[in-house]
Amino acid sequence: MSGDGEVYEKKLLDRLADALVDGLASLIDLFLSGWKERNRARLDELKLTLYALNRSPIGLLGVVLVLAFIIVAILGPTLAPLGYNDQLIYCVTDFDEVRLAPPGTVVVVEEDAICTQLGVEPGTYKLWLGADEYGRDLLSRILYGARTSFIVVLLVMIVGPWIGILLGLFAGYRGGFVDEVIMRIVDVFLAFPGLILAIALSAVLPSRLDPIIINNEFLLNSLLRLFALNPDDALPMVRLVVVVIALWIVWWPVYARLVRGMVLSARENTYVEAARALGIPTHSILIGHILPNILGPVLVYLTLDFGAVILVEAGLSFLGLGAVPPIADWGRIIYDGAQYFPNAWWLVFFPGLAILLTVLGFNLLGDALRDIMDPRTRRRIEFKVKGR
Amino acid sequence: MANLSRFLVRRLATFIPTLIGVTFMTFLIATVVPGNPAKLWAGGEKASPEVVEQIIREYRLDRPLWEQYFFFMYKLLTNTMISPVTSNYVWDMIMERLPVTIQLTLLAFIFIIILGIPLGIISALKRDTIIDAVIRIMALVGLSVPIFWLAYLLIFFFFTKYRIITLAGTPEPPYSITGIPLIDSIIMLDFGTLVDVLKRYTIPAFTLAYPSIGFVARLVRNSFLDAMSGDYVEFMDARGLPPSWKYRHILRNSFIPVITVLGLIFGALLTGAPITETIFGLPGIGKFLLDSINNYDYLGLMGGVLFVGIIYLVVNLIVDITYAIIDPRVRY
Repeated sequence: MSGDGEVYEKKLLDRLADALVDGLASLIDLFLSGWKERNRARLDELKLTLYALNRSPIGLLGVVLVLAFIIVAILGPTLAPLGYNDQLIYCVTDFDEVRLAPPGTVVVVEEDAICTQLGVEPGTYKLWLGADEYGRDLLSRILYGARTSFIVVLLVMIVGPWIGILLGLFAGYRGGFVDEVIMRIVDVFLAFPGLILAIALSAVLPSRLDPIIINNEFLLNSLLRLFALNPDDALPMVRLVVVVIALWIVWWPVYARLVRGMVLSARENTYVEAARALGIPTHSILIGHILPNILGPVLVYLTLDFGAVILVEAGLSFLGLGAVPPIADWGRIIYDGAQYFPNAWWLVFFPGLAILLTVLGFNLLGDALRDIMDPRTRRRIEFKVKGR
Repeated sequence: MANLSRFLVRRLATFIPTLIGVTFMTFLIATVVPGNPAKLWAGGEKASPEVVEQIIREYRLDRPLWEQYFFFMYKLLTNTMISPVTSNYVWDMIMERLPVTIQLTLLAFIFIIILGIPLGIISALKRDTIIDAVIRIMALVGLSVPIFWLAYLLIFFFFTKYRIITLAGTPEPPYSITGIPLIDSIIMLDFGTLVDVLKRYTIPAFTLAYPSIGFVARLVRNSFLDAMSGDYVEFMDARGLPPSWKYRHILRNSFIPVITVLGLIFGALLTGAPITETIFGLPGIGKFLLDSINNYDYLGLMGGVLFVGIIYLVVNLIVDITYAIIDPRVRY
């Protein structure tokens, strides 16, 4: 499948995929010359995956939802008409006007209102999705909540699963005693249902971790910027960091078991034998040769787990163990809004819808990727893609 | 059979170290990580030093960690551990919460079976039609829906609007055979109590079951399709065997993985449902863990987490053994 002689029926999206992959590859090629040529086969497989994705309506819907989430997470705090903690009850003379205001309420903030000293810009605001008990704009809080979710899930996923993947690679390749010990530890962690372990850890970890995080000025400042929070809210943010660490502990064992199983069969391949015969050191056989070859199925799990982490994080916040006020977090908004349910139904309905659509996006994408990556159906898709 | 017994021995040999590991981790989570809780237990900052001293001595908090570990595990497993916060035996507190969790589990499990399996089979038989697509998407929605959100939608519909369900108290019949009102009322043919139980538990159970219904439907669909593509199906078609015969074989083969997963789901349900129990105000195991956390009752938390770990581990063991017995292809 060198690309030249083949006749693909390329759609617009396929060309976009080509451009994307080629562009990225060229970019890497700038730093590591020859990288593009060496990985030609892998890049072609990647393009094939993207072509197949372009032909899966479920997958495309997933891509759209995931991209929407990422865009909202990045731009949300800038787009939000009000801050996540702008309490409009201090802006009006009769605060029942904005307290738990239903969707569509219009609020006029006068120049001389008390809240302008608290940072609210004077002007006319339409509260599209209503307001909570402090008169905070729900739409703005949901937009900020997307950022919170995104950063938490990103921090969890760039560390947690990779601890598992590295341990799984090592255990599967080494075998013997090391393997046995690592797998028994994995068994112990998997002996607890994930949510329960997460609950227990996020309840007990703060007493040890809070002081460490609070005293680390640099960490605190970079996290404040990532989460798009006001500097005053450093303390409430620490609880989110604890949740991230708790989820690292919850999320590594599954990957260790998964990857170990795949390494057990992958290490029998000739390419591994060849690499070993050439005297390539173990760590680069693992990272450079075995890992890229088992990454497909792992990627499916990672995609699905982005959704799962968002759900668990929202669940923890809903139980009062995650985000603390005034941080805008989807689970926490529902937890705080639930006491006014069903009168102020919007406080439960809209954040829940945001969680549902986001998680659904990752699940749809993961499901489509699973079909595409499945070796039994992959060749069929390959033929379909070629338009035969 | 020699293979099977070897598998059993091997499986049990890994079970015991894991069990010990679970006790160790529980201890770590509940006593090492939170630091010294004696002052909290004695009543906070204003506690008199004598009381704090007494609690430290009574719970051996001044002793080395390994001694604490053996002390706590011994006390927990022999039910002599008294929670300093509630002044009750920890194990008794958990057992008190068990009937609620069991009733939720049973009803949720019924939902999963009567909805998940048929939907999966329909989806497989109508493969690549609109029906299949709808069921598949519903299954994915089920896996994506935050159940606390679903719970409030259901409460709005069934409680606020139509008052079909109740949201307070737990029905307790005057008699007790198994200690589980749902089962007792069926045995005694006491339909009044049964209706009360169903009114209280059905919607929470459905909420709890919802994600698993979709999951099971997907699994049934895929394993049914896998089984249908086997060579033996072609063979039966070639011999002209009636479809009912064919489907019996397909069902048998496709159900092996399904039974495994159902077993694991059952185990997970038995470990309690913190979110569902909180929303519906049901005092089950999950709520017990949260209550312990909110009361700084780390010994209650330790008991609860240990209980959950052991239940989950034992169910896993049973599922593995069942799988090895019912699937003759599995040999280790």
